[in-house]
Amino acid sequence: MTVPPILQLAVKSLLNRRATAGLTLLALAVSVMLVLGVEKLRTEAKASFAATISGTDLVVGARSGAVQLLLYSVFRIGNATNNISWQSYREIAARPEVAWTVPLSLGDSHRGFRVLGTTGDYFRHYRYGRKHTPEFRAGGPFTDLFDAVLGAEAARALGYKLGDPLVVAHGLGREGFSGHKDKPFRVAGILAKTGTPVDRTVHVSLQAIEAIHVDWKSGAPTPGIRVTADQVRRMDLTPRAITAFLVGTKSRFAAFALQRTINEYRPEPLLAVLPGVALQELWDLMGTAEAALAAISVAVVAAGLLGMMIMLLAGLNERRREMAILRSVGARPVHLFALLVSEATVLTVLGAAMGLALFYAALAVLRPVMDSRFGLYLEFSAPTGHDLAILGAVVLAGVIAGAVPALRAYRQSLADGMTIRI
Amino acid sequence: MSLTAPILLVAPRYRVLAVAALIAAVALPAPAAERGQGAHEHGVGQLNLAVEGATVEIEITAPGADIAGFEHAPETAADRQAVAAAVARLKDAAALFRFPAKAGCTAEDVEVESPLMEGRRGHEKEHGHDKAHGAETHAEFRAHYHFSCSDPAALTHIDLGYFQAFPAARELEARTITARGQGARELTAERSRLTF
Amino acid sequence: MSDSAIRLSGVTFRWRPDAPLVLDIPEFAVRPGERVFVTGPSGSGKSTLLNLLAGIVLPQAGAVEIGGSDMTRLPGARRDALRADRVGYIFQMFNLLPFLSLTENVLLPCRFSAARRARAAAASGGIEGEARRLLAHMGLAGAAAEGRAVAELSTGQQQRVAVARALIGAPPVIIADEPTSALDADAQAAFLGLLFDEAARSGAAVLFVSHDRRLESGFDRIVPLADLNRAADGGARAA
Repeated sequence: MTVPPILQLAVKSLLNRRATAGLTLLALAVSVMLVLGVEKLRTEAKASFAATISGTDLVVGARSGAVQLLLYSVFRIGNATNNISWQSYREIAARPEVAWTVPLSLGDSHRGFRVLGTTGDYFRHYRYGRKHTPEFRAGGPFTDLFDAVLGAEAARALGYKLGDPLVVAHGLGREGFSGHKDKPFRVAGILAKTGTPVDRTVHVSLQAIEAIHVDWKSGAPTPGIRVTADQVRRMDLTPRAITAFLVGTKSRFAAFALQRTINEYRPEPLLAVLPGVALQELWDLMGTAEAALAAISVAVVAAGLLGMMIMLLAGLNERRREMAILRSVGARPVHLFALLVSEATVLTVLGAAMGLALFYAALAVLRPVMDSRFGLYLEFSAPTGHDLAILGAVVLAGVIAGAVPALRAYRQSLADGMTIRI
Repeated sequence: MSLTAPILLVAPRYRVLAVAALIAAVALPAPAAERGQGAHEHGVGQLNLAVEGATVEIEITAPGADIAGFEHAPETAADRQAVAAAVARLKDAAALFRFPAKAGCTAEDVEVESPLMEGRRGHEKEHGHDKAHGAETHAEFRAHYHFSCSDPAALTHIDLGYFQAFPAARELEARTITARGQGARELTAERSRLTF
Repeated sequence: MSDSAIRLSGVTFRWRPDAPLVLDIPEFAVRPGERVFVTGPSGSGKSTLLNLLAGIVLPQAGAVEIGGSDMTRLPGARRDALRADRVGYIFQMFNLLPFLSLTENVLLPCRFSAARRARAAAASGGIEGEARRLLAHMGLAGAAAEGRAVAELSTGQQQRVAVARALIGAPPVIIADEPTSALDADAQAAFLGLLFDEAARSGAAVLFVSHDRRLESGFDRIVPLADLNRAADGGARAA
């Protein structure tokens, strides 16, 4: 006899106070939207990080930190403190347990996009997401010394088509005085979107990196020496050093042993990391920041729920008559408790539902912006189990928050009885 | 080269992360799991695990103190007995690794080596700065296990009996490589399940 | 032991142990169907008497019986249930919940009392039908049918809705607390007429509390509270 009529009363009573109830609802909805949004960004950013490298057993570079090596070699964040010699690379690449290697040479840029010197193996062995290799949207891998392959975002932002020329700058600054203008490249291929840093990378051959530096010394053109593009083609362009290389081993277990071997490699201080393990360490390092972000989301929701609690508490005084009338028609104090809890429940359930709707609306609006401006591809997907758990927790917290005014209504109705104070 | 220019080149989505990561990379000591073979901390061992098709390979590297209770060359009969008992426990693959029954995994090969074992003197590492241990050496045990499983798809986790077998061991830094990718986690007596 | 609709015996009440007695009623009973007018000036203990009858406050001594059940011996939840089943209330004014329709307001007691719901359903073949019948009898059929909001009704109309609500499900006791004080003389007469008609129909006893002696006509018995209450000048606190 009690629950549905009480719920009905709660809904009608709230409608009667639609101005304050509406604002409370809005606050709740916005807070829920924020929590879902933060969670979405957090998981998608993490997923996109995790999806950036798959199928690579080891990443090898100069000895530094594991996370640092992974960041500069795979994510193009930061810089190598040291290069590694071509000879060391060749020696390790020739080991029997090694299935394939992809050398990486970083340090130049083209109009804000990093230039990566590598080999054709990059397009065969570098894998992202669920072990996809990058696909060509147009053209193909480099065949000529001065061929370049552009990531999807680099091609889009710069407006390049196949066959367009481009000039690589030395170092990482914008094009300035130190461009390699005498040796322009040609766009030979454009990759499909991957959602990884590959999208923002200009790929050229290792030899090309060497070629544009033949007449340079310690970061500046050598005075009086000019080597033309044609002359360069006839030179030995074997690199002397590379920044890092990716390794695929023949068996998974061999990765552990090879890592040990490389880390104990005598001729040169090298560091080999298991990228998945290094990424795990990165998450551990980021754990605090993530926890802070999560704490802020929780605080936002708590503020929303507190607002609801205040609204319900403040309303109680004006609603003494309502309570007295209900008492006079047979409502027991426990019914009034239930009424207030129902109101809180209705508000939080609606708030959660509206928050979810707002979240998807915001996602629909912001998705293209996040993709093009920040390179973060947000999946338009059904709420995850985690999202539903968040919504459930919000509703539960709302019901608990509702217990505070409900308890007050309970006490107040015991004290007031049916005496209506005008 | 300044640090700021490269950070600006980083895709914006990574910028915050990049700054944080660089600070972390510079300011924090090398993370444990990648500390490599030079590290030797009593109570802490390493576990490497790879799943390849129907085979599971596991390697445990642990300080002699964790396994046998000491790290000096065995001198007395009691010492030798302790080492032998420890080796026997280390070789008991079925007790150390409990696979899901459905996976049908059996140990096909177990190898244990340590400078503490009979007739294997040699490459103990000296830690001259380690005054507390005086002339002790930091000898390690290394155990290699090879399992073969009838239903690799059922291989979702392994429960470790390691911490029961070796109460002196506090932690195993586990690194895994499976078809689902690489992973790392710290295992303790309380959290002794390795899921992948 | 009694067949009274209401019976108070040996009731004493004070707000705090060290406060003076507010009520001291040796004996007071209302027969089923009887219409009793209890009168007294402001502060004579009328509100306290009503709270006692509702079981909201308990006397320090004595028994408060509604239909033979002593409220003072029942636990709180049973007191509430007894009140819901057996007593219909009409207050001075603002009896209605503004966010419910007229019919919903009338039906409220049926939401909280199974007994009244059952009796209302039996009377007109359905609780909504009974609510409509009562509203129609109160001259509010049109207002209810049009879906008029509570706020659109005059005070007199609102009080008539309150009568319909007090009467639905035929509770044996109707307690009215100054229900006509906000009405003009014509409306007062009409209101009392309707109240008596419906009470007679369901056989309910009416306990009417007011300070306005002009309303006395038509009641079976007029009882000045001062005659009942030996704590004569008490009640300064019973606002």
